[in-house]
Amino acid sequence: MRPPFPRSTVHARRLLLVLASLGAAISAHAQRYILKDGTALAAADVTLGSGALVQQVKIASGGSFERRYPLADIARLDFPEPEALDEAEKFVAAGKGPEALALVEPLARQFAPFAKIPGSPWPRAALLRMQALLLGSDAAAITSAARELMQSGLGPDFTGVAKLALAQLDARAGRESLANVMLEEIFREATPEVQARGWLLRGDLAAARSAHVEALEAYLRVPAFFGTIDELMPAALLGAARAYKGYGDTGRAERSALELIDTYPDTLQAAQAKKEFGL
Amino acid sequence: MPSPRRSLGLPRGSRFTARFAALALAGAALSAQVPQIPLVNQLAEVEQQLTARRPADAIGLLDEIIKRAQAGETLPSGVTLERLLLTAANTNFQTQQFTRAAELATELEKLPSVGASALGEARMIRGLSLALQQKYAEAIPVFKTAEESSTFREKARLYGAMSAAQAGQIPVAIETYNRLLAAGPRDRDWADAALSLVDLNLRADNGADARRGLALLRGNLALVDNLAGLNLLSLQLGDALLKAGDSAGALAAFRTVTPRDPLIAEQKKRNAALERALERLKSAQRPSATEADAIRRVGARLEQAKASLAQVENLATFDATLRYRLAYAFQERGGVWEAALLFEDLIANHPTSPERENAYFGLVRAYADAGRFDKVRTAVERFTQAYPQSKFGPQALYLAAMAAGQRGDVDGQLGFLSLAKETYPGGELAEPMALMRANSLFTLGRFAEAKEVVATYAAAHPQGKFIEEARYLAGMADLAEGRATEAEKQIQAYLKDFPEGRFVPDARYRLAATAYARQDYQTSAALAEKWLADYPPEQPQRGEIYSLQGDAYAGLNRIEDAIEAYNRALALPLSDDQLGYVLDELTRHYQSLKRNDDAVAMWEQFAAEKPDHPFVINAAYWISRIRGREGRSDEALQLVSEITRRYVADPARGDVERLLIEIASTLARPPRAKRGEPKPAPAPEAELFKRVDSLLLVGSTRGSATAQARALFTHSEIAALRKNEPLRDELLGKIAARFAPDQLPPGILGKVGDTLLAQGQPELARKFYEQIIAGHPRSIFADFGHVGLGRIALGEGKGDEALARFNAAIDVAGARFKLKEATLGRAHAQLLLGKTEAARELFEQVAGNRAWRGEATAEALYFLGEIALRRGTPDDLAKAQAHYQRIYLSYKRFPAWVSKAYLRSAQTFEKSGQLLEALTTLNRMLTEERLQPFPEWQQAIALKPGLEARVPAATAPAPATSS
Repeated sequence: MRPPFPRSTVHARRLLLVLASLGAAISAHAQRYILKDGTALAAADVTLGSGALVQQVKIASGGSFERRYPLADIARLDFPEPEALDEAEKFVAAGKGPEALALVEPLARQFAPFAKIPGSPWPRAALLRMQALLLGSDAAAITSAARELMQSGLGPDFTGVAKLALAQLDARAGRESLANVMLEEIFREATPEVQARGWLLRGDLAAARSAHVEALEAYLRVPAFFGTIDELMPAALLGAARAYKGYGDTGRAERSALELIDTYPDTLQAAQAKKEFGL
Repeated sequence: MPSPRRSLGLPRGSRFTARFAALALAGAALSAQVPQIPLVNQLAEVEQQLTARRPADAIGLLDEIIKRAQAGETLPSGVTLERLLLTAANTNFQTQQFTRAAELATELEKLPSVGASALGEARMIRGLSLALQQKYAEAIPVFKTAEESSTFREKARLYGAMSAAQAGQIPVAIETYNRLLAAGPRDRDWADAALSLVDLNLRADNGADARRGLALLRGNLALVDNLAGLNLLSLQLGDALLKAGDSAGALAAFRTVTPRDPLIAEQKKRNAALERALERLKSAQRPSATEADAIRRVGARLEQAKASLAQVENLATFDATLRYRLAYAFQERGGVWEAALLFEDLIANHPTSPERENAYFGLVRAYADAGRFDKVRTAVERFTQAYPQSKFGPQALYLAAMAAGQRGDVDGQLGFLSLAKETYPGGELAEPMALMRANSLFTLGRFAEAKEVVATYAAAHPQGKFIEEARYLAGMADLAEGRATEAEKQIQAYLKDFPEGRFVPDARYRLAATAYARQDYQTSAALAEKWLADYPPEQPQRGEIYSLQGDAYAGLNRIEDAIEAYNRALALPLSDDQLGYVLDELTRHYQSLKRNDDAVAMWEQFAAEKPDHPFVINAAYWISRIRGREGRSDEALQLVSEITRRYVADPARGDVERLLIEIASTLARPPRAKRGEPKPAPAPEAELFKRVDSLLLVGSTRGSATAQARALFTHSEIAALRKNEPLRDELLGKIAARFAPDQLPPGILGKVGDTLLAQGQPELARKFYEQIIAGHPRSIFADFGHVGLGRIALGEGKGDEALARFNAAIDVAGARFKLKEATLGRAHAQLLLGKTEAARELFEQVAGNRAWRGEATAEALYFLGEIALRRGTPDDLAKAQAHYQRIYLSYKRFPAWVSKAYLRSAQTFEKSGQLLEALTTLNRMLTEERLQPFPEWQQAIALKPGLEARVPAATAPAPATSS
């Protein structure tokens, strides 16, 4: 018999909480492929074959047969977010490319066949791999990773990152005009964050030529137009401080360096600014 | 919102309806006689109505059951009066019978045996019922008591805060929200509450708290359903902070605002999600009061989000407004480069926005504040062209004029002021602009015009804000024009009309100076004496008056008194000009009295007391000269080198190079012949170099790389004075090879850079120039760096960069040594960028500057000819011809330009159809054998036969002798 009175909301909430925590406990251990028909395949029960997941099914007579589940039938991956990605992110932030790569490369390879499938850690792994590669000088690996990103079909976020990486390679090789062609595409199409990174690169290119006004206008676009992207501010402020100095405006150079040191004290750029500007 | 109270109708459509209606109509007396329906059955009926989602039909039954229970009838097992009352209150609340719901809740609260949970729920129902009847002030204390329940605490705080806000009790609302947010979980209700709190803080002018609230929300964006509202609040916060003068806070607020299109897209997504959530909530069976309230809250949140979205959608200029606010906030906190970028973007991408006009004005201001004077000019031109009638036009021109003045571009300043006068006559800035114009004219030495401007001003504004300054300037203009009598009259009239005026001390000084100029030294001395008696010792002009008094005494041939007056002047603050004058006069008078030791002692004392003063160089010069005249060159060199050694190891002391040049000059001077003896041969350079080393590299300076480089530099100066240019270049090359740029002072860096550039080593030169800018940006030699890098950029065909460099040489470094080169460089850069008219103006500026007469003139004339030749009209060809001819006629000392000019002159004649003149010019060129090494020589030879073939024989000129 139903209870005669409305159930207290407290009970309902408690139940929800219980269910939610239960869900969390399940998902923390789950490594499953969820198919479009709702079937859940434990990762441990299948292997990756050509274009499909392969399950060995034992039969009573003692034999077995293979059941194949095409990758196209996978609706989502129910895998916990690999902790290695968080670790790799820390290494990247600290400028430790090889250490980050060692963590992220196996994940990128493992999840490459599932790049576009919801729940896949591949997109994050691929972006981190690109960041880690860019800390080094392996042009071939960067190019290959960029092409992989562009072919992933994951959208403008990823295409933009790939184009920016290629522009950076051109810049490093002294092919500034080629880098600029890529940058123009980025400024037209990419997401704001990639655009902002593009302006930083353009600032670097101009600074290398000692074109301080051009460098300043590129670096300062980041605080002016992309003010919410906080993680790019240290690089922009350091670039601006150097460009001001090159331009001969030492007052503004020092102010920019001080803003960097005050606002982002724990960054590599702040440490560099302290050294360069004697602050 | 509460709906009008409905009457307590009887349940309809159930099998119990008629019977229950009869009972109700019969009243209590009848009920005593008719057997009662068992409570169990009635409760079942209630259950049935509630399950069928007909709460209104359950209300009457519940009232009846409660009445029976309160009358003492026993309730079935498991059912309590407390539970009945709670259900009834909930059901009445659901059907919007808020008064009844509140009554039932009150009854429940009064039950002696009420449990804590039921008590909390009852208080919530009562509070909500009051609030929904708009009895907000009454609801506030009810919610406050409901906070006692740990179950309902958060909701009680939320509704308490909302009620307080509705009741206008803003501080109570803020305090309640703060308590709620401090303890509550981070969910969507929390985000709603945080948004409301920001709004309240804004209304209460608590900018800092609002700022913290928004920052918190930005960190939890996923919880914020009303993103559009959040963005609008950020704009409001930014405006409030700007108004309060907190531009950094305003900037932080504006920076978080998302542009319109992505904001609208995201809000639509969130609204759709909210609608789905609302549908889910509504589909729940038998929602409790709290659940019903959740439906209301989500509905309200959706409505608010939709309203905010509509507001953003209606703001077509949202992005332009945001850009403008960001730019303005940047500008207010000194981020003028960023402001300029934003204003430029607004102007370019929002052509119809009302903010565009303001943006132009902001742009002019930003460029002026950044010291980017070339940009100021173009920005003003663009502004006045785009908005010729703008009310900000005069302000923009005023700013541009001020910027030009700061840059020392008085011509430019006058240009802006004239444009302002023509375009915007009258207006509130007309008066200051008139005075600025008069001052500019005065600075340019156009005293008559300056006087005319102030006279017009005085006539138009006899009581004007600047009338005193205008009157005084009129007198000064006469004085400068040499009309001493008229000036005196003007000054006397000024003193009469403005006896307490701010120029009175200066006016009295000018009268004394006028008397001196009339050679009325007695009056001048007396006026000076009176001035000194009338004004206190701290009056800043006192030193100047003593100096004038010294002049007057000297005029009266009271030299000892003059020396005393000058010495008094020396003890007081003086401008550098005055200081230099007084020191020089004292030196002269000491020498006339043969008190050389006093003169030397004075300079030595000066150098000791003011070791960093630029006149230490003068000290070295005079000591060297006086002792040299006495035949004591060695002593002079010792004294000068002693001063030099103090700073020779410090690359930051850029003025040492001036002393080094003095030492080089003393050493390179040919030795004097002794009477009756033949003139001795000059000392070999190697010997002089050793001497330099012995003077400069002593003790600790010997090991200093900078001192060693300076010694080499002095060697190179000696080589230059001895006209041994290859040796000079070799020595400068040695400096480049042996020393790192950061070991060199800016003056040497500049010279070495120039030598390397002249030797065709731009990449090497670049390092030296860059070190000047990076290491010595404030040095008087900084312009060497900017100009050098500009020339390198020109060589690489980078017009924009070159122009920026040359502009920086003038605008940033002040172009103390390289103004001519920077101006020429700007002209070349403009030409490279295809801006012919700008280039022409600059070349004319160079060609017209008498002080620069020389190779720069020839170069400028040549390019003026090139520009005219490119235009190609008959008139232009004639102009080009005139330029070329001027070079080979007046600037013969510069064969490279003469050679070019001859060839171009001939080609221009040919283009004009004047073949005979062309041939004559070529023949004339080919008579000058010194031009043979230049490439134009061969071109002329190649051109000649063609011309000869086309010129009729009868008219052909005589062949050149050397061709």
